[in-house]
Amino acid sequence: MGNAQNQAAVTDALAEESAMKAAETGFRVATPWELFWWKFKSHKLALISAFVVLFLYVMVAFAEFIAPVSPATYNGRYVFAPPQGIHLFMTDDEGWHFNPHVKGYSIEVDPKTYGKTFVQDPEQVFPVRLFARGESYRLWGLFETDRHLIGPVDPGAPFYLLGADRLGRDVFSRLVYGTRISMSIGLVGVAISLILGVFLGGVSGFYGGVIDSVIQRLIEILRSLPTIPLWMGLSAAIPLAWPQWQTYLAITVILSLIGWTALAREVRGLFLSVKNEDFVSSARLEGMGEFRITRKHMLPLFTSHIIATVSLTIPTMILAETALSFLGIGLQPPTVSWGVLLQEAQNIRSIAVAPWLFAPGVIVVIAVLALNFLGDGVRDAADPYQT
Amino acid sequence: MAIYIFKRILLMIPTLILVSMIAFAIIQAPPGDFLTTLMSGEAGETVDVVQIEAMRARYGLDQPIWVQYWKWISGIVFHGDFGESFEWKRPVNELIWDRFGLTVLISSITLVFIWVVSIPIGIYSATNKYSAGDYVFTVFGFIGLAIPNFLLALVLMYISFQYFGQSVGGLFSPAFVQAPWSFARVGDLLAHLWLPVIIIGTAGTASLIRIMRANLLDELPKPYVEAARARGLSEFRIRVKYPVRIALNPLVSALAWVFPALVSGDAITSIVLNLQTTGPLLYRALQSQDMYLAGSLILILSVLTVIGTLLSDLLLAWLDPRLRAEV
Amino acid sequence: MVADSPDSDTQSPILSVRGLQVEFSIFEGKLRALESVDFTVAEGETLCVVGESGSGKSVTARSILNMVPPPGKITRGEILLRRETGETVDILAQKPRGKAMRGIRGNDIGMVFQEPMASLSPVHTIGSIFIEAVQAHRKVGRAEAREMAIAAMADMGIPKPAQRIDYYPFQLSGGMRQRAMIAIALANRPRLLIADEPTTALDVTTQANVLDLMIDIQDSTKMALLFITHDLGVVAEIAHNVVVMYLGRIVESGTVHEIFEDARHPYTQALLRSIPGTPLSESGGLYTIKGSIPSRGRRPQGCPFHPRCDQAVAGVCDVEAPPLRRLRGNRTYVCHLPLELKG
Ligand SMILES: Nc1ncnc2c1ncn2[C@@H]1O[C@H](COP(=O)(O)OP(=O)(O)O)[C@@H](O)[C@H]1O
Ligand code: SF4
Ligand SMILES: [Mg+2]
Repeated sequence: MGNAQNQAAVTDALAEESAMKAAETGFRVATPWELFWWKFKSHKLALISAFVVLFLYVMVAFAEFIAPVSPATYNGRYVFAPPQGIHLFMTDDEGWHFNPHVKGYSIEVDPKTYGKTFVQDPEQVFPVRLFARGESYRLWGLFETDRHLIGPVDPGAPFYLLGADRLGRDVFSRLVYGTRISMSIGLVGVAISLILGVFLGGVSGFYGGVIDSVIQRLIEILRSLPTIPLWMGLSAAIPLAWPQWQTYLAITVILSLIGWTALAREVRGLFLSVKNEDFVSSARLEGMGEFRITRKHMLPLFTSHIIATVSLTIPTMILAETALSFLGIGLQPPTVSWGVLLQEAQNIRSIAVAPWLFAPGVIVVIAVLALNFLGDGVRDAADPYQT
Repeated sequence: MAIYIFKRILLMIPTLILVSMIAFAIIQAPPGDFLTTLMSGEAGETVDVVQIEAMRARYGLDQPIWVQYWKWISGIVFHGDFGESFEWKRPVNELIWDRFGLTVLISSITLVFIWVVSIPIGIYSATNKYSAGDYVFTVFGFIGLAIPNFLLALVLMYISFQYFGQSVGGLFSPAFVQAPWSFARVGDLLAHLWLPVIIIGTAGTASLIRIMRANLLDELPKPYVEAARARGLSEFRIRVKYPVRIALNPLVSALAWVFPALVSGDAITSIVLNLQTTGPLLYRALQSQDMYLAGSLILILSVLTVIGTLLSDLLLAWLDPRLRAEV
Repeated sequence: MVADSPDSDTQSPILSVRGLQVEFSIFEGKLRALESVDFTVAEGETLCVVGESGSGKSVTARSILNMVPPPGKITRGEILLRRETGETVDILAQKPRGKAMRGIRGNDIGMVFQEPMASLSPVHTIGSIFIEAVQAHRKVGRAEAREMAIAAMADMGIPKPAQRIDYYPFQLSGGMRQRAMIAIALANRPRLLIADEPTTALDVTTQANVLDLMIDIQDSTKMALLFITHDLGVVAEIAHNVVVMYLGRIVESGTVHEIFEDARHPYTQALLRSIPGTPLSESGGLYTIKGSIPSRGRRPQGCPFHPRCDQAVAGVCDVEAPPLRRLRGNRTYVCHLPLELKG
């Protein structure tokens, strides 16, 4: 009854033959990066998310230019002024023509409660332009300029795209600066986590044995702790007197102390898989040197897995920073982050009057969603065994 | 099995030691010892010098740090003495347990809520892959994961204030806040619980739905499902007895991180909604540098989640015959 | 070695499959996995279905239980089953998920799958699966069902059945698992047992033991057995009648004598030549069929076998579909040979 094996051998031989035929026909075999890119492109949500994330980091880099005013600029006349829409066209006696502008406010006082309400005043027209002149600033401490991406032609005109807060500060500008801090804290935090994670995960995967078990136990322990109370405890220990950048750094370090575990697990898993990955051994059979194997096969796999884990870790950092700053034990004003901005929305009366104070919350959700989709997309595209 | 439980409990000891060290480090973190805080913070009040000296001796403040740690932890372990809250001028013990009970209650109810909601939805999504319902739940899942607890709390507060004209928050109606426990008070509590449960549970529900759906999709085409079908079992039975049962394992092991996340979520949600759980107490303690209170809270919350993780491990071992037989 | 074949021409069959056609809707279009499949199985008969992997054997088996996995769909044909009561039902007229169909599966027809490990739930004991199978079709108490399970396991030659019944699949050896699977499939004394390559995943000795077991069971129960295999050695051992499949069609059918002694189809001949110890293989040394079964969807023009056929007649086989030749009753083959001189 040995023919089962015999037939298996036959099928094997056939498979080999057809593989050889395929090689003879000589179509070019795609590189791992090309394969990755093809698969990633077909994941539409991930592609869109990549653009959203890119857009947010452009904001991080060019906050001074994108924001019409600085986050501290205030104006007592426009306390809780509602958002203005940009009107592109204007009608007058000659018909309508292109003239982007915002409408000014007129203030009505309720005779009974003396509460102020802002009403759009169609009579007041403030033209708006791109590259408008406004407050001057030094971009990256290098270039002195007073141009802003968008702003009123007359620098004194009210310009509140997302409304104003309780001090009459521009919510949009503050949001742009907040994006810089919150998105970068995610990035810096992940960088620190990455160093910790790659180091400990690498050691764990490379040496195995006791070291591995100890590190794995440590990761398990850290994962079984309630993060928010711990973060609260650690960040409450940061002296209030510390300068802004020092607090920023301290918070980042605190977040990464707990955030490195996911990365360490990923790195360890990758290290272990290197040891017995099928395609590595088959590449070895084909006579590729160690270095070429690493460069051609492992590097793309490694990088894309790390990128995936990183972009899935950034949102947890962002959410943590936002929560801590929201509670007032993370970043402190005058530093502006999404969490700090959301402190303004803490009071139910303020949000009832000015629901646009939720804008930073919307950005948080968008950013976290985009980073999650991006991470998922990268991971799916990196997985060579799925279609 | 017994050996496994024993081993697992033994493994908890280093965890607990580490946790207690972290909590102690947090107590020690503010500059100066707490007596300085006590004296500087309470300007106007007379601080009894004798009392201060007594405390200095009790906590071993002039001794090396490890002696201080030992005094602190042995007091907790052997005498259940968590130290003294400076702000409240009462033993920590008297302050925390009521609130801790509510934290445990809310976290556990939320956990049940998450399971009850996510398992059927996960099953539905997997068995009706790419249906309209599946898409709705997928979108809900992603948003649920992306929206922070406190933001959700704020939004729900805003909605109920703006559209229903009532401010939500608290765990009790004013009449019951100080009342002793009674059936009426329990009823009142339950009537207030749904909001925090939804807020805290949303993220967990979202991720468990995704886990359940993915696992079930892995299990449904497996040969043992087909074999069960070939035996003439009903589709419902086939799904419930086999793939769902197997897909539960990853769900149970997910408890290991879901439960800590719930305790975290309880802390921040309670602060926003002003619930009488450990969260706001911890928050105030940290703000006023009432470190023994803060440290104790962090310690017991961590111990709570460590025990939760232990329970989920044991449950998993009990569910998985391979583990059960092996150990 | 070969048992007397009950003559399925005269005896009314338990199962009769007529013109079965199954299509899979896949990305590239509609893939016809089965076409015009006809055969019958009578009481006490063992019908072997042979063919290389991918020829449609498993799809045939699943069609009989009306559970072709999506994206597959039975698009034509009838499958008549004679039930214990004497009534005949068309399985394909039943709702695949309906109650009537469930009453047939596991009750009138039992099924044994290829991979015993994968076909048993890893988290349930053998006993609980058996008891469930019995209780799905009969009103018996748990204790009674348990007794039945122990007895059935003993019948299958499983030592210490009273203990093994509480084992999980991973605690049993491969052979024991497959015996347990057979016990479960026979739990309700089905009149037809379908075994889809039940021994392929087992080692050679275990394979032989399980085969002997199946022959014994069939002798004692007189049930009909539809045995699927790609192994002609196994066929020689257990079959009464044989159908040979290629690319979703039956290319030859007959009694086991006829197939082994007088194979008419070049594919059957090639299969026979590739096993050691048969007249055909002795004459020409061990043989392998050239080429491989075409990949999905690419069915060659004319005779689907012609690219691999060493007797193909150019201009005929690659152009025209070969006719079905019926020598008598169930003795058929589909081939242009012998070529008749056309006027
Ligand atoms: N899930 C499926 N999707 C698409 N095609 C399938 C599927 N299952 C079976 N087929 C088609 O049916 C053919 C016969 O399959 P099968 O009955 O499993 O072959 P065998 O059991 O003879 O090895 C396959 O070659 C394939 O083309
Ligand atoms: S019809 Fe022609 S190609 Fe097909 S089996 Fe017969 S001889 Fe071979
Ligand atoms: Mg098969």
